Amino acid sequence: MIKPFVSFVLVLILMVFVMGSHYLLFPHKKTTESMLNITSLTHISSLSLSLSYDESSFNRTYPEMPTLGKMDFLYER
Amino acid sequence: MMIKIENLYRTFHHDDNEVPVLKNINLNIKEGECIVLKGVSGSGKTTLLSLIAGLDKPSSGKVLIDGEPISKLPDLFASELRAKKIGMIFQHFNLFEHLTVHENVTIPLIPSGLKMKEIQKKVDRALSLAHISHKKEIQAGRLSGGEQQRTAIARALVADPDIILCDEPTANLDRDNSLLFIESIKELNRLGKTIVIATHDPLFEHLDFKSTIIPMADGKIVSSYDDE
Amino acid sequence: MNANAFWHFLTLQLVKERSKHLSVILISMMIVFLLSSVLFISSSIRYSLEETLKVQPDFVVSRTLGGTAIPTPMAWGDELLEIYGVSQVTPRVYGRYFFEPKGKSFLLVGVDFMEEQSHKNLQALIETTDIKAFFEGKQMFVGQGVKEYLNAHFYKGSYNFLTPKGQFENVKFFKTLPSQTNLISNDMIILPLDLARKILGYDEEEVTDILFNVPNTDEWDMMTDKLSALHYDLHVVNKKEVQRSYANLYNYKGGVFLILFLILLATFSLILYQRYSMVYSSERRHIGLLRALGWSINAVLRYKFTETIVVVSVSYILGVLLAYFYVFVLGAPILREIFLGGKNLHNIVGFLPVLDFSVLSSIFLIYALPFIASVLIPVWKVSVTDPKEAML
Repeated sequence: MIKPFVSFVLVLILMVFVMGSHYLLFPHKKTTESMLNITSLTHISSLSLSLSYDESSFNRTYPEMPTLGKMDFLYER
Repeated sequence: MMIKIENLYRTFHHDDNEVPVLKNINLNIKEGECIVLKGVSGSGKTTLLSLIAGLDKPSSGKVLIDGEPISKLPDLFASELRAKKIGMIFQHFNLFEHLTVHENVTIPLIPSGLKMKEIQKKVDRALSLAHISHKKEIQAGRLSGGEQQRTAIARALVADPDIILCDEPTANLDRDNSLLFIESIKELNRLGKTIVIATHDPLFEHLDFKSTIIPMADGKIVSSYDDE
Repeated sequence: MNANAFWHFLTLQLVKERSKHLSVILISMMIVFLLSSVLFISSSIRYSLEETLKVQPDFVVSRTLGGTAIPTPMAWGDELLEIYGVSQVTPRVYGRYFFEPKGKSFLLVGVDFMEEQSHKNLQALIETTDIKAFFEGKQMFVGQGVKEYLNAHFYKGSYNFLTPKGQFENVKFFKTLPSQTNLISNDMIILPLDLARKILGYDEEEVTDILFNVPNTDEWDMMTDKLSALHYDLHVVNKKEVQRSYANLYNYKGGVFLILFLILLATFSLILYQRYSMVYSSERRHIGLLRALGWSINAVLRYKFTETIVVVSVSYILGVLLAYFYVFVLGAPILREIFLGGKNLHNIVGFLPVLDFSVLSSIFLIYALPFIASVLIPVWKVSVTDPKEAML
């Protein structure tokens, strides 16, 4: 193998190593625990979707169905 | 006998028409001989060269290289035979223009199974034989026509083949470079290589070393060549 | 063929002809990047939701009138406790509070901080919380998005909520919820139960809905029937339905990505076509030349196959690396908006890194196989024909 290619492969391996380290060192447990704590505290696991909750909005195609992407419909009107 | 050609025919098919390009060629070429196939364009000399190299298959008849029928061998063996015994020099040089002279000359040896060190040795030897060592790190696309031709010669010599086939080698060269090429051929002939040149260049009519001119026209050898 | 010499020539060709490979690598990398980014985001959200759904109660009951949710009486909780097999009955008070001038909304959640479990969860969530200080006045915990939004609108220390009775309730910010929980808590405001009731307009004996568990899953269907018989206006939802509604949401999002994927596929076919025709022009001559110089069909195929594998692998690795960095380090700007929306509050989600190797390997196969085939089939076709083109 010629040198420039070997250097390129080494850079690629280094990048994969950095990605692997980030993945392994990421505080998975702490983050999951925080999520579990907030869910246990509030009993709410709906995503905090950044949609505008317009009370008058409705599903135009299927009026009897809730609007798409609105997760709280299960608990709301 | 190095190259033996027996009752060789080659016909091309265009739509429904049959175009005979070679008609009943019989030729015996001894080891160390220099043969000049001479004829106008369309006379069939390049096709004959392709058939000798095993790059094309005859419609009938056979070509024997050292007794082996190259056109009938399976690809793996034909390729090996070509790699070991035949060196080719083309009209348009056919170099990989993005590679250096040295890298171009390496190519025929890549599938040979040799180690890189051995390949380097052979390449250096071929480069000095073709008098192009001084340009070995230059990109092939940046060379003059003469230098490209010398690179092509080095590439043809690198596997130390017994046969050198040249297809219109001086067609893209000026007179000085053509004369230089003829000098190289003379040197190769002195080294005992069997050389077959397909050309229409009149410079090859009066070579100052032993050579045989075989005139070709309309797919046939027009003046018989007798090796006896 | 000596492996050393072969790799020397292969890498030499790859480096020297890099401009030829670069465009292919870049476009392929973009395709892998987009596909992987979408899959990284969705698997990360899915994983987080699956984890949080585990601690969610099995059933939710609420009162409806004409299909519209109305406050649920607390007394229903006692009735539920009397049903055999029901445990952990928990009332819930929450609702959306609208920040009228801009049409934005927050999710107000009332929590009974006197409960031991809530206390524990809060301590675990915000380690430095002094719960005594929290009860000293009207205070609230706010999500990152709420905090940022209110700060931007000059509510630095407190906010005046307008109750349905027309009174103002000034509530101070106590603490911000940790950013790791943004996926759920970004638009959330956590208040003491009574205060939440006041702001949302519930009476003392009313809640939004009531949660409970039924540990025996075989009882679930029967439980739904029992509950429906309890009150004619009782609406019941179980956890399976919640999970299904998430799946529906993903299917809808999946539809958007199906279109995106089709566009990508079209682009990909164009690249493949380009590769295909390239093999038929300049590479045709190169292959012929290699054959004329003594390379066997096997050697040419091996060379082209390895070259393609290298190009495919490099673009795949680069695409996945870029997607990982984009999603899990940068938080997937732009693409995040498609998943989480961008209309209400600005949400900076730190996605939990999840690598689904089965999905990654499927991307590799979907992308690599057609690519390799589109190069190797024409190469094979050229290699098996007589290489006299090199002579011309």
